[in-house]
Amino acid sequence: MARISIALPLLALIGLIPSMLVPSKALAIERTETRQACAEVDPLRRPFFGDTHVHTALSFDAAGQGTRNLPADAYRFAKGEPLGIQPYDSAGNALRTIQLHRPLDFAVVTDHSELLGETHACQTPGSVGYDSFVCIALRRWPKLTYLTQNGRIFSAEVPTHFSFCGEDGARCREAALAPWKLTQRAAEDAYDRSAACSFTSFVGYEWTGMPGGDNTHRNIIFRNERVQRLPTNYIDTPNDEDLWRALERECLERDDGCDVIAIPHNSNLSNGRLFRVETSAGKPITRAGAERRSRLEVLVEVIQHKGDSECRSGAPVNDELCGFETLSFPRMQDMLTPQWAGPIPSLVYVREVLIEGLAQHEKLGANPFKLGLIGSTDTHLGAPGHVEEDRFAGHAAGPVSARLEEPPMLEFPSFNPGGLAVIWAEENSRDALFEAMRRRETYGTSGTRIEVRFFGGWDYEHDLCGNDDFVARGYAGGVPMGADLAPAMNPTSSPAFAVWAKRDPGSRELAGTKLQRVQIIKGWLEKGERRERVYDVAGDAGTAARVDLATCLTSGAGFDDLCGVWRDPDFSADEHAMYYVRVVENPSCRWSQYVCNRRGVDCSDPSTVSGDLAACCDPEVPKTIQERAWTSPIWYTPPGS
Amino acid sequence: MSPRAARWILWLAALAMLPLPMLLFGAQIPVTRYLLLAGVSAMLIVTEGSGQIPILMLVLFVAHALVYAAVLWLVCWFWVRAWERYAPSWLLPTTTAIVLVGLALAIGFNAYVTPFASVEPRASLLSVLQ
Repeated sequence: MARISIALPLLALIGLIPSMLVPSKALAIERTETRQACAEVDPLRRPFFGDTHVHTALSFDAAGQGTRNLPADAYRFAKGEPLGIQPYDSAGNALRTIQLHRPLDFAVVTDHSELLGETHACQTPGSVGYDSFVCIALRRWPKLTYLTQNGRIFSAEVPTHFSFCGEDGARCREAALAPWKLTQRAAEDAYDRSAACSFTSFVGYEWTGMPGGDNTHRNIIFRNERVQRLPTNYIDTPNDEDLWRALERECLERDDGCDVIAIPHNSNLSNGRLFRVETSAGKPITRAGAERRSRLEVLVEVIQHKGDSECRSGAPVNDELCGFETLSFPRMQDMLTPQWAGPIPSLVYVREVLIEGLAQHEKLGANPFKLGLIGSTDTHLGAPGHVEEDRFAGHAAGPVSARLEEPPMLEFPSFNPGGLAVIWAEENSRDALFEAMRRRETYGTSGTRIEVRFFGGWDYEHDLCGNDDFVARGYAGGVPMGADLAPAMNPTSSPAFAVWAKRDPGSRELAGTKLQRVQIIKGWLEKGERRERVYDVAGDAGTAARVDLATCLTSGAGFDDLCGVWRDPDFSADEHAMYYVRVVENPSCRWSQYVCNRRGVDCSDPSTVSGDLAACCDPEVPKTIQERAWTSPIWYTPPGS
Repeated sequence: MSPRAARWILWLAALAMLPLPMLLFGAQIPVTRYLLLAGVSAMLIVTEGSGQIPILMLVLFVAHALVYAAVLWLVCWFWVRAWERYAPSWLLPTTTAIVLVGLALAIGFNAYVTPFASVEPRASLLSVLQ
């Protein structure tokens, strides 16, 4: 009995060790809203899967593509309910229904702030502009009006409101109040403020600048219900510096707890204009400008349904995994005629932008591109998290439309279902998730639900991988993804990185795919030169896993989880560096292959290959993919920088 | 019926009824519908302002309409000339039959593919010009 009485406190103490190893900051979530405390709180943090890029019928282009779902519908879908989507019959019944295999933990509806008032006015009898020609045209010839006006306004260097908005656009800004309130109301209604903490929504919108067709879009996400009176839009605020100023003035500088971040996306379609090192006036960015940018732009969307933006195929590093869901043209409008498109310039892919950030840090003393990574969908169906390859119904944001009838090939063949944003947080609440986004403890996936941990420090040992306290020791001995390495205690030592990944277990309907390998990608400066290298850390690239294209069943070896501790063999304490992790699954069927199988396409029988289904037999359209996850980087800054 | 009248009747009927494919958008519509879409595009440019894409759309519709109108005129010219040379007495009945059969098919079937419409993806002659 005495032994037990001694042992119990001892065991309790041992049990406390992991939580004692957790940095005290982990438990200090700043509370900015009134809500019940979450019943489940994990000081070692859990991964929450969500989508931060969702359009509904409030977006002009989505409405033009026949989308009728509103923000409340989008949140219901995110929680696992079925969602009717276009085409609709004459009675208004949706002819297709989609549903997630697995609900999301969080979502953000981010309708375009441009034409928000106009879209609402054109659909609301009695409102200003309802009887204008452009509104009549929008209702009678929706696709034509969508194509002409969307392109005219979103791609203009000097965009303008619809003519009925008045010379200064004031009528349409006022008209935007109603849909903006509706967005906020839907987010509030969907947010679970009970102790169950089952679902989190954020209020958001998309600022959709595309000067000359070069994509400079940002998703704006607010921490809580305290938001701007009206979303900032590209028509009234046509450059990113003024967007940041507006966010500071109308949110951050308020004294009521308003907080906001901006997430740039689709650098792959930016023609090099999303991450420039000059101001809009053509002057080099300053330290103050870099700091302002990095204060607001803490994350980047590395994948979405209009392509992957991670890295450039070919030179300077022959990284064979860079060709994943990559578009071959530099601007959205080159989509239909890629053969006439210009070359893809520099500062288009996230990896080169992250490395450029190191160079700018060395030059300015501040890194303007200190970006954590997430994925999202950019769905225009109001279908957050609709990423499953086997049941992908398209996202209604390109040339393929199901507005009037279901097309044979459900999406533009180069597009993909998009990805997910994953946030490591203590609980599923707005404050916890938002703080995690701010500290960049996030990663993106191509839609799979891989779990990945990534820590950087100086003293991790190889036995960490077999240790039950991997996570606690990871936090205690260093920093997680998205953070800065602490200065080295010993100037001659190299940083060590601990990474652990667990495969997506899949759902009842669709099994997950085993992991193939884990890589660490290092970007650094070497005497001012921008360098990058890919290191295999765990797993095996030659697992000989196979996919049966007729059934899409996978077979062969792979890994349920992978772990590795890797020490940088080429480290120089004097040079800026950043490291991020890429976890890759075995090959599996791409969405287009599922469609081709369902349509009975046989490439040896031309009678089965008609129209858009020709993509099924196009060697340029991959039949399989390797789903993956990308973590936020960990940065190293030399002492004195 | 004079050959000249027959040519004009056939040509106007073809402009109004013959479904003709559109580049890029998969539509199959008559020339009159191309002109309607061109008119809407032009009105949007006038009321809302110009831009690369509105101009491209207008050019696309106008180019289709002009090319098809010219081709149809040539086809009608050769057709009438052939009847005139080899069976002039059949010109009136064949012209009338072609127009009436075409009209019946165009009204009775959803012969047109109309991706720019607001409701249905296919239309008959009665709705294709709406």
